[in-house]
Parts: sequence; C-alpha cells; structure tokens
Amino acid sequence: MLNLKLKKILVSVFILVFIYSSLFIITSLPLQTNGNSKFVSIDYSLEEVAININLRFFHFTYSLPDTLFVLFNSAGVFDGGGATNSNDWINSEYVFYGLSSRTNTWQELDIINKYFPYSRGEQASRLTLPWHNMLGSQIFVEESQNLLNKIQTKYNIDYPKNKISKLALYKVSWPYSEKSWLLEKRAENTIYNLIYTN
Amino acid sequence: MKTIKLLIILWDKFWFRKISSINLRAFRLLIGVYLFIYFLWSFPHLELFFSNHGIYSTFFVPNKIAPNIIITWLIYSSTLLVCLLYSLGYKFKMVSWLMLFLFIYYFVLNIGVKACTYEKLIFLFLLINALSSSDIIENKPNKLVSAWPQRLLTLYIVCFYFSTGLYKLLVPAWHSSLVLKGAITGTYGSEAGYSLLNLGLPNIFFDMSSWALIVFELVGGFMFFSKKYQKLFFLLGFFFHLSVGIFMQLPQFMILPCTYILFVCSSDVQKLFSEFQNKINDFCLRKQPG
Repeated sequence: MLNLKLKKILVSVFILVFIYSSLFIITSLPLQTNGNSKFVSIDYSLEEVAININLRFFHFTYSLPDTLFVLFNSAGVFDGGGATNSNDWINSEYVFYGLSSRTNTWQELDIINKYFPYSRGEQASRLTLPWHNMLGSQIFVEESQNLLNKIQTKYNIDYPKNKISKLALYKVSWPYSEKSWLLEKRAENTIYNLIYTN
Repeated sequence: MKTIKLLIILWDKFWFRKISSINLRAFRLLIGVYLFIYFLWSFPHLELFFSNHGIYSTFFVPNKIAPNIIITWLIYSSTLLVCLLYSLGYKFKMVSWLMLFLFIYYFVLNIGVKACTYEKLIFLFLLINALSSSDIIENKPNKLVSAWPQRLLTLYIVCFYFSTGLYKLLVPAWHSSLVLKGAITGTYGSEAGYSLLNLGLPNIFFDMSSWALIVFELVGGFMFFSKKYQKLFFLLGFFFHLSVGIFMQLPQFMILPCTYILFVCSSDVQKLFSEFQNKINDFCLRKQPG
C-alpha cells in the first residue's frame, strides 16, 4: 500500500514537472526581448528562435541554467516545436578548406557530403553545433576543435597522398532564388565566412 | 483543507484511474517499428556516425567515447533486435529501459548535437514508456493499467501542436506564404520544394496553405479527441508530416502520427487488432498446403 502511494507520489512529481514545463507556453510566448534571451525574432533576418527563455510568471522571473534548460526542454514544445519563424533569403552551404602539408597552400576539400551524409539542413545543424554554442563560447570552441581534429585525422587516413595540417570551415552564402538552390551562386555575389579553424 | 482533499481525489481519479492497456500497447508497437526504421537509416554510415573511426560530436560525455568498429556493430545489431522486441512487447519491463538507455547512448554520442525536436520527442516517449512499463504484464493483455502515461502523452501532443500553431499565429511572417515558401526551399528545403514552387501555382495557394497549417495546429490536437472528426484530423496530420518529410527532408517527424493511436477509443483499437489478427490467420491458412 505504501509502495503504491510512493509510486503515485513519484509519478505525480513527474507529471507536475511536465505541467510546469508547459507553463513556458504561457510565459514565453509574448513577443518580448527581456533578460538574456530573445524569444521571437519579428524581423525577417536569420535570427532563429532563442533557446534560453526566461520564465516570467506573475512577478516571478527565473532563468534556468543553460545546461539544465537543454535537458529540461525535452520536446521543443516551448520553442514552437522547432518551427522556423523567418527566412533570411540567403542560401548557405558549408565547405572545408585544408592546409596541404605538401604544398603549404589552402585547398578546398570536397568532403562535406562524404563525411556528413545528411540532408542540407542537418549538415548545417551539425556543423554549427547549436547546443554547444548555447552552452557557452568555451564549450563551442572546444567541440569545434574536437570535430575538426576528427575530420583531419580521418582525411589524412583516407587521402594519405594529400595530407593536411590544418582545417577550416567556411560558410558560403549567396542570394536566395525561388527558381533553384544554386541559381544565384555566382562569384560576384557569393560570400565566404570563416566559422572555425584548428 | 476540504478543497485540497478534493483536489487530491480529482488528481488521483484523473491520472491513476484504471483503463485498458490496448492503446499503449499499440503505441509501443508503432514506436518500436518507427525506431527500427530510424536506426536502420544509419546502416550505410554506421562506422562514420558511431565508431571511433568516424566523425561525431558528443554531447555531455567525453569527446573520444565512441567504441571500435566491432563493438559499434555489436551494439547496433542489439539495438535493432531491441527495437523488434520493443514492438512485440517482449519482456517489456526490461526491454523498455534497455531501449531508453540505448537511445541515450546514441543521443550523447552523435545524435544530440543537432538539437532536433523529433529526437527530443523520441526520448520523451521512451522515458514515459519505461516509467510505466511495470504496469503491463505480457501474459495478461486484458489487465487494466494506470491512465497517467496515456493521458500525459495525449496532453503533451495537444500542447505540442497547439503551441506550434500559437507560435505561428504570433509571428507575422507566417501570416503569408513567406515562411512556408522559405521552409520548403531554404536550408532544410528540397528539390521537391523547388518543383512545387515552379509549378506556377498562384500565391494565394501558399497563403492559404500557411493559414490552413496554423488552423490545423491550433485545433488539431483537440479534434483528435472528437470521435466524429478524429479520422479527418489524423489524415490531415499524416499528410502534413508526410509533406514535411518530402519538402523539408525531415521524415523523422512521422513519429507524431504514431501517437494518434493514443486518442482512439480502446474498443476501436481492439477491433483493429482483431481484424489484423484475423487477416494474418487467413493468410497463414491459405499458405498451408492442401
């Protein structure tokens, strides 16, 4: 009997946590840019929905620690189910450049699709490390270095005749077109931005 | 004091009343099949994704945690087997926890890095199924179980759809075809998205589609409870997630239609099971020689 009561109490706590988490729907939806977070971007820029949301309920303001928030935000209910809220009208892809050990020159490496065989969107998500980024610049830098080192090691095994000593990830952007993905990708309107290097 | 006591009684009645386990069983079957397909997807790139020869980004665990290729294959084969056992409900009390831990293993190893909603949903479903696994006993399929897992899951799905709808309603960019067009042709977009845009359909088609999506998400979750309209809304939901799979290359969101079975009346689910069983029996009889 006691066991059953204890079980009910524990399950009730679990249920309450979920109901509490649902409060984010009420407390974070008003379009506002308070505290250390920006919930909804109302312009049409690249701004994604910010992940860290301040819980504002009556006069009580509380911000979950980032790590806890990542664990707690378990199903995207609170960030609009991952719904995108804007378009930036810029198409972007990622490209790796490697510093050749032989010639000491930077060269474009055609490895994105080989080492990241995912859809375009998933490639972007994996390469930009969104959650590590949210947990702070130090964690982001550490993980980006780890990732680059793994890629470099694998590349040097796969291409022993063309070893590289350094690696850099660039974001390549060009104007959006409704006609096709690559239509506007021309030298004169394509921009390269360094994302990270080792 | 009386009010508190009444609230506790109501709480107890709502979450812990005994109901049929048939919906949860059907849900677990569908989730098991979904996970089998989900993990099978990794098959061609297994070493790259999850072994120490691969390229992976860990989450909450040390950077070089991935095992060697042989162990990776062993864990992977076990995972596929566990998915099947999960579907069949075999030793569910143990298998459900095993499935949860295996998913957490893949999540921290390489899946979690991309922060996708569907993987967080999978985790949540597996957690609730594991926590409630002791209720279901394999050899007593008609045993009544506590209502809380089914009610919590359905409540959650309603909140999930409603909040995404409310979110879109509050964001001006969703009030026209702007975001919808960008979504099917942008970073997550696909060639199918471009093909749709290049059909030359009038802009009003995309404007209406945006609003239809907002309306569906706002009311869909609630309409799932309506016996009269649930089939229609299940169908709309299925085609919505199918279109997300085709136009945004995110077929993983098909996990949401797997939850619809939780909204169906238990007697109807029982009927479905019986019909399915009869069809299998008929098929087996026809296959028998003579």
